[in-house]
Amino acid sequence: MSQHPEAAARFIADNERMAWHDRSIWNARKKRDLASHSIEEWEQLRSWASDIKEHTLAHLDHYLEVFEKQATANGVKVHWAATAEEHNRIVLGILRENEARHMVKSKSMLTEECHLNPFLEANGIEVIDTDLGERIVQLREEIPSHIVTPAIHLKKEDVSKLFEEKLHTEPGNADPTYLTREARKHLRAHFLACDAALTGVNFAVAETGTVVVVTNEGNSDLGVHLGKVQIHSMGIEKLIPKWQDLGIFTRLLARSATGQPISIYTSHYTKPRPDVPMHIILVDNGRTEQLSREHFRKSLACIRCGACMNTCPIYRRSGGHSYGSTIPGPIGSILTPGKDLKKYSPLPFASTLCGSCSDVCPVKIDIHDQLYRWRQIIAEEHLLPKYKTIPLGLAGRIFARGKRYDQAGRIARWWLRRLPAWMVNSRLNAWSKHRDLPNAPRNSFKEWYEQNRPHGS
Amino acid sequence: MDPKKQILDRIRSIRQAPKPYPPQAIESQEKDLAEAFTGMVKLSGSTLLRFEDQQTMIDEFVKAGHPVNEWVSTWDPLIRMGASEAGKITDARIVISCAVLPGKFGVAENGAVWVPEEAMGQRTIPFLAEHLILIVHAKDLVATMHQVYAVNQPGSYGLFIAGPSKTADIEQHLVLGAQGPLAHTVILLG
Ligand code: SF4
Repeated sequence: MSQHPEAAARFIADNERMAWHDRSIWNARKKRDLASHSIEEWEQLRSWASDIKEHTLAHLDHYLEVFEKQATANGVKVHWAATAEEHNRIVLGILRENEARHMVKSKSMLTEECHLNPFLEANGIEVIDTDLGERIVQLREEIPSHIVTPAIHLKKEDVSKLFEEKLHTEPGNADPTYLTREARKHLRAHFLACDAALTGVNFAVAETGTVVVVTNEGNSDLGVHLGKVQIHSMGIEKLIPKWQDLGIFTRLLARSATGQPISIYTSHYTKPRPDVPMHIILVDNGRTEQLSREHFRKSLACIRCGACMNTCPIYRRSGGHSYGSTIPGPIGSILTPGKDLKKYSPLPFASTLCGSCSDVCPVKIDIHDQLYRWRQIIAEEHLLPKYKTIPLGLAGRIFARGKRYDQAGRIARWWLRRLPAWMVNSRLNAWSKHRDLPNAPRNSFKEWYEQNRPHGS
Repeated sequence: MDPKKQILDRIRSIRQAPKPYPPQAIESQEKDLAEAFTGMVKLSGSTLLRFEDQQTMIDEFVKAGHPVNEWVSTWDPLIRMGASEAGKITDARIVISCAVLPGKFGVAENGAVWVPEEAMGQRTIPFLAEHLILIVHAKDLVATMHQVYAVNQPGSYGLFIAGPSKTADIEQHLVLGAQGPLAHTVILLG
């Protein structure tokens, strides 16, 4: 079972680091606010994006076939993979066919999900992740802790130590510019030596057969244009119907992700270079199953901007790794239980249900409602984690009876006024770790309302 | 079982209400495009130079003593001045100090420039150059991304470039020059 509470407890044990993590991610949220507020028609764009995604998902079979037909006409070889294993085998097959042994990869959460790297490495292929953040976590033998900034959990000193060991950089030099330049040299050598490149896909346009990849570093293009074969792996939900839809999605993506008005490179790959084969792999791996769940279908509209993570008070304070899933944060807590409900049953509880995630989501996914729905299903199927069943069971019984609820409230307020702070804020009460409980008023809201309500109502 | 059939059958077995494609009416905002574009280009850590026309620009290059013969380009006026043809640089290990390429559109809302494959000579050039200079005509400025996608076709390959390659992957410190160009300049003509 994924142990989010335990993993989160380990993360917050280092108070200072947690506070730093919280602050630095909140920064991204603030930048997102500035960027989105600068666009008058922001809400209109969100509505269109949401409608387009819903429309595509409702006609996904049609758009997949249109896309395949169009891409094939462009000279691209299209593959279909029902599972992660099939995807990995297809990649290996393409590499073998092209006698490729050194593959560079640009950011792709899908290949993380499929555990492509260990599979290829076991088959004698060298895989180099080329996004700087991803290269850092790859060298540390970790997974990304954030879908946009994979190494956000690390401080520059951590990176300096890692690079000193692996890339032989100057000991103790933690200057980000120096470290980035060293990584640039290291990665450039791999680009020049690579014989294959694989990228993820941000958007795939059915009408034109184009795949669009967005980066800030330029690593996707360096690999794709230098390799002897190019491969793009995509989940089937990445489709959009029309070329013009890109106008909407490119306006939303970077602003939501990092607060930039647009990422530095938005690359549109439609036809291969002469003599360089181009492959696109369409991957299901549980997506059709999620599509079949009416209440969770909309989660497939996600464009992986990371805004829901940046705004989430739980994510910011527990770190991406605490979720134990490829995609962390609010959206990960909806997608991952769909793959294995028992194993990931704690994840929908890693939320305060404050709804901030749904507010910032550029494609208007009702994230917190879906989290709540998973909780109900988990409770119905008796998969609730223990620490939830006891207090929730009790609360359920109290809420169910009005009298008892009033009584319980009175008793709690009485105790809250009298108990010494050290007892309320004890270690047994996880909520009090970083906050004090409020001063308890004498009356409940209900009592106050009874006394003060306007006459006649 | 054939995975394609498996996936499509699965999707078709799911009952979903049809959902219409949303009608979109995107208004083009008429404002000072050049001013907005200039602001955005600078914001991304790039340099913006503006010249009245092509000749003024070339005169300026000559006056400033730029080593045009060490540059790479796909643009005839520069090639005539001694720049190497981008299409002829086949060895990726050759250091390209500066590449000058014509852009097709400039987007005022974000400072991005659309560069089609034909303008690159070859696909690697915009990424291997240490300094990338893109030339945009003021008449080719548009307000938002929508206007580019409305008239521009995908071609074989093409991209928006909106500044020097950058990263903030180390503790969110912005570093310009991650893997592609270290510097980026946009020249606005007209
Ligand atoms: S769910 Fe929405 S906010 Fe979260 S990553 Fe996906 S698109 Fe972004």
